[in-house]
Amino acid sequence: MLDVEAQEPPKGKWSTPPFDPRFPSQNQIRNCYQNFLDYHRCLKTRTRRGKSTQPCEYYFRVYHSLCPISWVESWNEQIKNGIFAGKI
Amino acid sequence: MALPLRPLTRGLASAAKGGHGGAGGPPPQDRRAHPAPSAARTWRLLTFVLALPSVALCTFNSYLHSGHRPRPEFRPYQHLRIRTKPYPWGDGNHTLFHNSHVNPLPTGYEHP
Repeated sequence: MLDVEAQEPPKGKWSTPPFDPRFPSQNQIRNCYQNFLDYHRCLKTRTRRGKSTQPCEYYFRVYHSLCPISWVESWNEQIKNGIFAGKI
Repeated sequence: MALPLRPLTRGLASAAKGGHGGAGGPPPQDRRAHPAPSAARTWRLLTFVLALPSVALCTFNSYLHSGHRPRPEFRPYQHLRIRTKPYPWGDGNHTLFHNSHVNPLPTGYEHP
């Protein structure tokens, strides 16, 4: 589910996230956060429907490339404690 | 309408000046029999007919909407109840208009 330990990074190497026209500027904070949210939302709906969560790996790769590790860790901590402020 | 509204819509700047102009006044031939109403009369009329009934209606409306509601469960979100520096009053942890029934502290509600 949403617990962090169950999420494994996909195997192999992956390339830099492609250009996202929703976030054309230099500041990519929103891009990072949006992909983090999308990954968790994707996980949540796919597991709720009992489907494979393989398509969600794209979002995982993007936010891992873009987001500072400390942010990801702190967000995962908040999700674990139920105090994450975003809508997942 | 009983209220002399048309002169009012022309603006009551003359009433603000303090003199005559609150409600127009009778036609010239009547001025000796009916002295022109003053601005004070207009405002007194407005107060008792418009302002105070509106206040009473709004009070009644808030009374109807009053009553205890279940307060939201407490979650220690990090973007709320931030204390980088203690408040300069009291114990430094309570906001100025803290209501312990509905406002939680950073650690939770005070009353169970």
